[in-house]
Amino acid sequence: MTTTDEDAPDEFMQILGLELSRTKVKAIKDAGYVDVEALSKVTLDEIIDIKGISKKLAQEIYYALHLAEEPQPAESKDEIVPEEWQTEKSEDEIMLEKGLELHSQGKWGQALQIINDMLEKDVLNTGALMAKAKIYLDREKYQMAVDTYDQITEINPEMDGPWVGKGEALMAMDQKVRAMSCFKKALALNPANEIAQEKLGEEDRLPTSVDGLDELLEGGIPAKHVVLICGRAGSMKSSFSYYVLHKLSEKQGRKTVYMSLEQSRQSLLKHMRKLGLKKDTKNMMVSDMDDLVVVDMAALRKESSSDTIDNINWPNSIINQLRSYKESFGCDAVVIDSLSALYSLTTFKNPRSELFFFFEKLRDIGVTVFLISEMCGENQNQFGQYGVEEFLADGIIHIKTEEYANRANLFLGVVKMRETNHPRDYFPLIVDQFGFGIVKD
Amino acid sequence: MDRSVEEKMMNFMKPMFGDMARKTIENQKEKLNLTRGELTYEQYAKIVDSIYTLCMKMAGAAIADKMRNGLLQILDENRTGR
Repeated sequence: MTTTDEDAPDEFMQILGLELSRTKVKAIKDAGYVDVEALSKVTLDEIIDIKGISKKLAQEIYYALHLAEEPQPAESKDEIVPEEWQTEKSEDEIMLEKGLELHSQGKWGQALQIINDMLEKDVLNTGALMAKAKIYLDREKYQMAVDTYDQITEINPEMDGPWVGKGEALMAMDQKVRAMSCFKKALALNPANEIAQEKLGEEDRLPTSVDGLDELLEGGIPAKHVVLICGRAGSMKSSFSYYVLHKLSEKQGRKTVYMSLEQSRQSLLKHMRKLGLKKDTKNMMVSDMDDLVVVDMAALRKESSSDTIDNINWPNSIINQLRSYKESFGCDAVVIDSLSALYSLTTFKNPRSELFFFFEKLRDIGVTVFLISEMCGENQNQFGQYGVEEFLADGIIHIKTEEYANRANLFLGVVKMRETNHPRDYFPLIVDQFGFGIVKD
Repeated sequence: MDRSVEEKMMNFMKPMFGDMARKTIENQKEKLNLTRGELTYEQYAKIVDSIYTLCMKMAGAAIADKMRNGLLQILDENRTGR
């Protein structure tokens, strides 16, 4: 039986006396079922999957289309009845379906009333709370949605759904860092959670944890970017970069590597300890954990003769090392300290071309790379020695020093960050016992 | 022991030593005066200890332990012909 699009709705409306609204008929048609014949060929699950059709209505449609198969009261014990027809719904399930049906029809108030009635009977009804939170989310009452999702996770910490919902609400509230950590939590609870996977894939950013900076960067630095951290000597580039890795490992469990080409590991860690970057409990450096490893390439250089060092292609060696490191131990972010030190070990025949390949290979490794770079040029306003680094990098964070009242004050500016809308202002950079932070108006 | 074990050790050391891995093994051999002839398991184990010490200096205990355990496993596998 086939019909044209114009008369199909009438045909749907006449499915064995079911009073299907035009909205429902449209939902069925939108799902690709142009006539009753097409709909009669699909399974119950496929009808349930139609957006805007509740499970109960789907069952009614399915039974109506398969009248001959409709279950009759069992006359004998041997009669086989499909499982879905045998299941008796609880009162709660029926109420919840009714609430969701009203919600899908846009009748928020009535839907909430039903759900609140259910919660009055049982405040721990996570199904009802999920429905309530979803209604808040759809009505753009984001904080109320977050609060409701929090209630659910308190009741059942093992559910991944509320973390996804909370993440969506926080995204809508422009709190991307918190939202991402919710999606991560959902994924930790259920690695197959497709929404969490999708959200994290779309928006994986590495928060710097520098107070005020992540808000400017839409949540952090996009994953797998190659970012220059630039400044003159004494502008705390190394400390800033170490701090970012330290926080990534401490707060997010990200695996990170700090590769020092000049400063010794011991000296670097001593300095970081003075900045308060250590584990509180056992007075142990975070770098003693697996998650943040400081690799002292200077120690390796000291081990070898100058002939050996001269014969090594250091940019390639670092690429090979990072690639192997990532394969063996895992790695999300790396700091290379510094580009100037790398240049001192390398003789470039064609710097533009060789640096282009170096940056491309770094990007191909698939980790976020922070390259510490000394400002160069006549007025020290060039972000790299060869003047091409700023074009090759995905991002540039510039820490500049300005003298004021006999004091060298630090200012931080995001000069460039691909895939990110960010202001280009310079903000005072504060370093105190709480860590790094920028001061905004 | 068969010198092919050094190739396996070198590959295992790449995450920490990059292209310097081969040279690092040679350096340790020179330090320990083990440059002549085929080396025994015990002599290779001394080289591993030396690499462990260097790794401690370079990257701390966690990585140094991983490096030593991995290298000793390579030696063991090579000794038993697995």
